[in-house]
Amino acid sequence: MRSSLVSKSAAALKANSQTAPIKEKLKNGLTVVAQDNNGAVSQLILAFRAGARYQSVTQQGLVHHIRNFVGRDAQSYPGLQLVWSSAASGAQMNSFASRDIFGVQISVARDDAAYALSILGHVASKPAFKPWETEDVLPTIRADLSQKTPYSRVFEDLHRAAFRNDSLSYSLLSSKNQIGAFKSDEMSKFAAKHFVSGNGVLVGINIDHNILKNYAEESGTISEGSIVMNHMAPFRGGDYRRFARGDNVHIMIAGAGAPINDVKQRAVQSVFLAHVGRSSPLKFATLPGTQSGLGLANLPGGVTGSSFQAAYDGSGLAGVYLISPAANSDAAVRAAVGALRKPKVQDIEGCKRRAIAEILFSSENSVLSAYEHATNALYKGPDSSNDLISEIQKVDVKDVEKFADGAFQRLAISAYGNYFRIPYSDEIH
Amino acid sequence: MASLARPGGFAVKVISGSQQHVNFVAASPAAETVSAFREVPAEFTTAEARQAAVTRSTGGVFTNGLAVKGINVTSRRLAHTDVTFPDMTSYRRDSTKNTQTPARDTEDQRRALPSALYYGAGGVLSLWAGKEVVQTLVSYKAMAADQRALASIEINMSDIPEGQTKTFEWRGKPVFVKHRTKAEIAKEKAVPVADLRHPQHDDERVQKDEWSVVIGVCTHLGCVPIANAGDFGGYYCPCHGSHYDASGRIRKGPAPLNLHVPAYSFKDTTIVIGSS
Repeated sequence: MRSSLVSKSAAALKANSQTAPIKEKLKNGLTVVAQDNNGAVSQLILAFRAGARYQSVTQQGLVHHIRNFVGRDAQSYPGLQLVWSSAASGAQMNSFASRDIFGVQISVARDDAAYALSILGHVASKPAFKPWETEDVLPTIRADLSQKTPYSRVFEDLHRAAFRNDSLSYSLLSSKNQIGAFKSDEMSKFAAKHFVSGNGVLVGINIDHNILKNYAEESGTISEGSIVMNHMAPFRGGDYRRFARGDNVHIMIAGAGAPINDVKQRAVQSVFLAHVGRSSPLKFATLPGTQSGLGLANLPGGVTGSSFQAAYDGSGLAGVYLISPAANSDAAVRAAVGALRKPKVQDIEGCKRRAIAEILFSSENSVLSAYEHATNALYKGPDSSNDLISEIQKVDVKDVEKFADGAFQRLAISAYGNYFRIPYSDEIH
Repeated sequence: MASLARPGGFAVKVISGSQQHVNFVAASPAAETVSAFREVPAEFTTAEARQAAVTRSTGGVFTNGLAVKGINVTSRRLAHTDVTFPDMTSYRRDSTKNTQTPARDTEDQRRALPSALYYGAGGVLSLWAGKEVVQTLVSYKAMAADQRALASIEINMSDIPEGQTKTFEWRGKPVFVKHRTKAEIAKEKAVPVADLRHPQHDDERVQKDEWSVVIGVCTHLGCVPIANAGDFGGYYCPCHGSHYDASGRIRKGPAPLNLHVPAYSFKDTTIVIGSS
C-alpha cells in the first residue's frame, strides 16, 4: 500500500519535472520566470524588491499606502480604464506585499494573457500617485486595519520581537497614526527607485515563455534601473505582547529560520516543522497527531498548535503558533519550546513525505506557486520546487536535531490576548 | 466585478488531511468609521475550532501573513446601507416618490401619450371652440350689414322745403327732419318749460332753429308717429294718441318722454345724421 503511494508520488514528481520553469535574466535586468502547466488560467505576477523592509525608519506604512494605490491612475492611462479593461477581460487583479516583495498579481483566462500583461505593467510599475487620489485611498487602509485577525496581529508582533529595530520588523500594514502621512512625491520617489527592471521579476504560470519574454523585452513599460539592496535583519529574539480582553491568548514562538537562498536549511526546516505538526491528519483530531512534536509535548488542556515558517532574504522564522486558555499559557509555552528544542523524531520518512506533499500541494495551486517563484527569483531561492524536494529526500534525523539545536537557542515570543501567564523568552531555559 | 466570498452550495467532508477553509472577513460598518475588528481575540468553544484556526493560519513559506488587496475584485463587502446614492428626488415624477405605492397603481400617471393627447389636442380644440363661440356672439350682437352701411346718412337740406317734414331711414329707425317756419320756431321757443312732462327747452333739442331732427319712434310703446299731425302741430302717434309738438316734445297722451334727438351735424348744405 505504502509502496504504491510512494510510486505514485514519484510519478507526480516526474510529471512535474517535465514542465520545469524557464528562468531567464534579460538584458535590461528584469528576471522572467515562465512555467507552462498547460492550464486554462494564466497567473501573472510583476513583483519588485520593494516590500515593507525597504521602507526607511520614517516611512512606516508607506508600502501599505502604495499597495492600496494600485488600480488608481497610472502615468500613461487612467486607473479606471486599466481596472475596467482587466475586469472586462475576466481577470482578477490583486496587489500584494510581503516584507521582501511588492507586486501585482493577475489571474486571467489564457487567451487574454497577453492583453492582461500590458495592463499589469502599467498598474504595477507606473503608478502616478496623483495627489487628489490620496483621499480616495485612505479609507481602504482604514478598512484593512479593521480586518486584522488575531493571527495577523500576533504574526506582525512576532517580527517586532524577532528582528527588533531592523528592517524585517517593519509591519506590512500602516499604523493608524500614519494613515495619510505620505505625500504623492514621497510615494513617487519610492516607486521610481524600486519599480525598475533590475529590481523586478515577471512571473507567468500557464503562459507561453515567449509571450512573457517579448513583453518584458519590447514593451518598454518597466523603466530600466538597477537592483536595490536591503538592510540586513538578523534574528535577535525577544518579546512582544499586546493585551486584549478574553480568556484566550494567541501565541507565536519562533527561532532563527532558514533564509530564502539556503536550500538545504529550508529542506531540513520543512522536515522539522512537519515533525512538529503542521496540521491535523484527521478532521476532528485536536492535535497534529500523537507522534508529532506537539503531540509528544503533552500540551495542557485546551491548547492547540501548528508549526509555521516564514523565509526572508538573509533571515527567517520557524516555530509554532498556539492558541491557549490564559490560565494554561505558561505550561503551554514551556512545553512547546521543549518540543522545538529537543525534537524526538520517530518517523523521519513520514515527516519527509508530509513536507514533500505540502510543497507539491502548494505548487498545484498556481497562484501560490507564482508568489513562490517571484520571491525565489528575486532572492536567489531554488529555481524549482524539485530542487527543494530533492534536498528534503536527503535529510536525516541528525540534520533535524542539529537544526533544532541551533535555531531555538534564542526565542522570539509574541502574544495577543490575556498574556499575563506567558513566560518571557529569557526565562525559558 | 466579482465578489471574493460567496459561499456556494458545495458541501465537502474532509476524510483525511487539513480542512479547506475560506478566510473571509466582512466589514459591515462604513469604511470611514470602522472600529477595531475584534477587541476580544476570537473565542473558540471547541478544541476542534481552535485546531482549525491554528492550522489554516500558518500555511506557506512566503505567503504566510502576506498582505493582499483586491484591485478589480471586492476585497471587502460593505453593507448596502453604506453606499451613498445621489438624491434624484427633485428629478423624479411625483407619482413615483411614494415607495409604499405599487408601480402599477401610478402607471397611468406616468404614461405621456394619453396626457399629451388629452391636454394637447383637447386644448387646441377647446381654444378653437371658444373662438367660435366668441365670434358667433360678436357677429350676432353686431349691427346688421345693411344697417352698418347706413351708419350715417346725409340729407340734402334743399330737398326739404320750409314747413315740411320728411322721414328718412337711419339705422333701421325712421328719422324725422323738419324744416320749421318762423312761426313754429317762435311758438316752440315760447313754451314754458315748467309745464312740460319731460321739461326740455327747444334750444336743447335743436342745433339750428330751422331744423328739428328727431327719431320717429314713440317713447310710449315704439310706434311710428305721423308727422305734421296732432294737436300741437308736430307729431301724432296713432297707436295710443300721444301728441308731440314741433320740437318733438311730448305734450299729451301716454308717452313719458320726448322723442329722441340723434347725433347729427351740419355740413355745407347737408345734415349728417349719425355723426356729431
